[in-house]
Amino acid sequence: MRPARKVLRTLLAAFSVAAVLTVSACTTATPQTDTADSSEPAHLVFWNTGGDEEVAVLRAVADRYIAAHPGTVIDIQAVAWADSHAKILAAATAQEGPDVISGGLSWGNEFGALGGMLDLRQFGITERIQPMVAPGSWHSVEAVDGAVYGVPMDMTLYLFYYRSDLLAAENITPPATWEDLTAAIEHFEGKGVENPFVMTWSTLSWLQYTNFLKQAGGDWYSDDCKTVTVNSPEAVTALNYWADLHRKHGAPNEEPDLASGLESGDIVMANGGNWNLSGLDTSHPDLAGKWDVAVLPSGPGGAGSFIGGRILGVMSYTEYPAQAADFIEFFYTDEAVTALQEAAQANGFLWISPRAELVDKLVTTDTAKAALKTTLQTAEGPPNCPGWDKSSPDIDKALQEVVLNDADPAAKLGEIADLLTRNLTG
Amino acid sequence: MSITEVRTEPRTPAVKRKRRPHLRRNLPGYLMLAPFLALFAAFLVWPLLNSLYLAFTDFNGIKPPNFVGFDNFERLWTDDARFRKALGNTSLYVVFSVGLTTLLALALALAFRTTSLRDKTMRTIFFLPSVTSSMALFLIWGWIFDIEDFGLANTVLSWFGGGSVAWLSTPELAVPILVFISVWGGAGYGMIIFVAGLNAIPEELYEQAEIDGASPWRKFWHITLPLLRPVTTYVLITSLIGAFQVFEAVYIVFRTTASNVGGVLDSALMIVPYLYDMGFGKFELGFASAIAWTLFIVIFIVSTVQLRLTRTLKDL
Amino acid sequence: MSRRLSWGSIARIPLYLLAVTMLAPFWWMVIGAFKPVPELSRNPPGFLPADPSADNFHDPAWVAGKQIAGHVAGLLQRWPELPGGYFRFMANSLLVTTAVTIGSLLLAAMAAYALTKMEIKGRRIIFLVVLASMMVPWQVSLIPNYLIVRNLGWLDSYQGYIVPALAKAFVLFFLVQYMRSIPDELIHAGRVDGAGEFRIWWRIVLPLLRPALAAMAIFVALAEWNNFLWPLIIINDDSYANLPVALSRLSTSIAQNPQGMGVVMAASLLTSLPTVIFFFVFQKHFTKGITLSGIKG
Repeated sequence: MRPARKVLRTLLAAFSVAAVLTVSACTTATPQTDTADSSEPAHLVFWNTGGDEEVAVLRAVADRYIAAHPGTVIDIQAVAWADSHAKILAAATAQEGPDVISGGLSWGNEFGALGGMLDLRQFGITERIQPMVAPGSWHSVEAVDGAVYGVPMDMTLYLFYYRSDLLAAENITPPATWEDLTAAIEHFEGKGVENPFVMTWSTLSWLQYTNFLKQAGGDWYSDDCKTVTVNSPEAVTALNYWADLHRKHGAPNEEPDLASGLESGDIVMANGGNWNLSGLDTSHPDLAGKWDVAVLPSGPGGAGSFIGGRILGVMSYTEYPAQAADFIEFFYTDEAVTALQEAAQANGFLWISPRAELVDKLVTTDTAKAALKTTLQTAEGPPNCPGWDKSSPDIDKALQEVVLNDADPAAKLGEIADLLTRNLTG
Repeated sequence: MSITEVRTEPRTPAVKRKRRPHLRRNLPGYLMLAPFLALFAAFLVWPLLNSLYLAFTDFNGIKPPNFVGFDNFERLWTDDARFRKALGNTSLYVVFSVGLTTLLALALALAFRTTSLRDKTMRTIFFLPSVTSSMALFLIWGWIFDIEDFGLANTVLSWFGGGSVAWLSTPELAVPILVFISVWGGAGYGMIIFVAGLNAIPEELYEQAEIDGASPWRKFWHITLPLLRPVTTYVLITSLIGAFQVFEAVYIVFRTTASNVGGVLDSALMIVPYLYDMGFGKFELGFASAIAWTLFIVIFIVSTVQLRLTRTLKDL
Repeated sequence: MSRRLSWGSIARIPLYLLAVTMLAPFWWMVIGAFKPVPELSRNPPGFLPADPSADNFHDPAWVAGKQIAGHVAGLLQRWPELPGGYFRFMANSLLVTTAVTIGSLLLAAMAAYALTKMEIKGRRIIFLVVLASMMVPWQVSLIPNYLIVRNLGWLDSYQGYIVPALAKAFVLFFLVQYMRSIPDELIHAGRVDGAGEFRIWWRIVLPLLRPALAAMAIFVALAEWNNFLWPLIIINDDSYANLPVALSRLSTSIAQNPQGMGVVMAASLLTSLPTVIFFFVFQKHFTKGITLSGIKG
């Protein structure tokens, strides 16, 4: 081929590549959507992060909302927890997808900070909702700058499950403090039970550790998110205690099945989420009357635990922002909460509304209700400080290194603190 | 072309005369190539280039991307402990998975290469995993390696007197388990290819060697292995590229352990799961693109080295 | 002679044992699918269901909306809002897999013919680009591809599944290698006879390609049957979901709860059947295709 032609060919190739790159740069920008008039009946698509069985429950609420707002159409779809984050991100990127989503407590701040979800303050609903919501839950969803991109949809709390008959037989009262817990564990170990105490709902991660951190009187950040406070003596105490539960007392590193463990007596005591309350008796009738719940044991710093749950938020590209916000606010009405609790009850699980005063209305045992109410007083959700989500895998790793590889707790907490401080501004 | 035509066009430039008949003659060819090429360009080339562009930006999926130069790559190669862990895990996994799979595939091929019913049955048994839904298989493996005593792995262990093990949340076991699953699932496919390669070696070569008094081992080393080289290279390279891209095994089998993709202490973290986590878990799509292109570089280097090695070995 | 036989036989013994290991997970899946709920968490577990039942497929004792001890919703009782339930997912998978297999093979066969038997300008570069693209992990293109599909309005549609999957570099590569073994004389003979290129391709080349096409068909069909991440992202409407996505959702909603694992095993069993049957039917073609091409190296 003649030299000139070769040069031309190369230039053409380079130009095409450059053109493609430029065009791709332009098209990656996200298109804008128009919003409909807020008085128009809306067609809302609602993605619920959770199981299929919840769709029926949410349908009950949606139908009531539709009855009050004729012409509205609400499509509800369940999305599995494992896939949900990725799918919501894909929707946010393409500016197309659901109008309302439910997701992890921290997702509102995550997506909101990037412009993927709407600040709900603009609809005025946050002022009305905030007084109704348990403070521990609300604090997590409020961003540092005061924005609220998601409001709590439900709450999940940690409870202490135990075999009441086995404990009674040994004349042990349900442990109220760390010392009580250790004593109880050692007692059962002496009787030949290998791992009397297990921790479910998140094993070997920052979530479970937060329980102990709070009980020791420590915290991840200061309240204003300006300083990282996790490398404190209290945190070290908590880390040592928690790690020993695994190292010395054999708490499994992976979540075992709570129900069958309790039934067989392999598990005598456990930390677990409140969802087990409704399932245990129905799935394992042999357990009836043999188990009970209490508040998590207190540490040197008092009581404390983690609140989980989900938020409801509005995607930024929605055509019906006002109606979506209105639908979200409906979840807090007495009517909706009753419908939710009834439907959940009928489907065999418990729904704890973020409206703390309604815990009394839950259909469960009195001890459970008392435990839930007490727990709610001191429970707090995940930190709402910038950079928290980014840091969590590394935090998990550092914590796991203490538990599994006997790393020095103070050193690891120092590393975690450095990471969190860097990500606060980074 | 008649003689008259030649006389009437004595000095037509050669280039011009060639171009038009070329297109006319080969138009069907271009037409046949077009659909594939168009779709290839639209759904393979463009996205790849787009992602190459993204690798140099801070794209987070929602806001328009900003150019950041080599920042992503710098961070990835010098300041990312998780990536180093993923790279280490992946390398270990690739070496053992590809090595063991190839060896086993060869052994199986040598053992069951005839068309007897016994051999055909054995080949079918070993090939079964390759034609079974991978999602189904990974779910079964997750169930087999369950922490409970009634999990199959723990049951088998109890036959040998061992106590129950938390398979998936024991960091030292993560990569071995993944290698095991990979060899289990991949040996059958390699076996079929090796059988084809073995059956292509002419019998006369072996007969000649027998006459010359060669032992079975010498026949294997000097006839079988060298003549299997193209097949072996093919199996090695394709397994290599595939093993580097492992994703679903990690994502599904280790889904229930720990809250991150990659299990406890990132013990099962591989490069592609890390890419996925960074892109869809942490919104760092620009960074995730940088990871993907880094993976490409790694695969490229390793395959080139492997090809060179094979060539050098051939000349030895 | 006899010494050699016994050596070989002894060497084969560990491989026979290995064959048991190969079958064990399948066996576990099959018996898991037919074990009723109480047996699933029994310790030690039985290697045969003591009380085999089809409850994991359909449990007559289960009632929607209630938790009953020892009974969960059977596989065919789930997804009540979707017509056909589980079978809808299977239908989607079958449709998409068939379309992608046939489509991608046709496209690649045409392209391979054009690249090897016709004078295409720049065919070496095209081939090299195709080859290079095989090395980049496809997950890189996930988001850009998603945006393209979305801009075309193909989310929640069969086109979104099928069209991006039609240009398969690996298939083209394989067929190009195979094409080299088809003698040019045959093509020239066809041209001399006055046949158009398309006719030559259809009448002469494709039949000769059959073993390679069969081999690739199995490969592509399996890959598409197992496709998980892409459908996960582009499909939000259940009526378009494929089997892996449905299976994944099923397993996370059950979350390793032993009570529900039977249903997951039942689903795994049903999901595995079509491809296994497909393989058994086309086994000969497949091995022939590998034989004739794998050696070309």
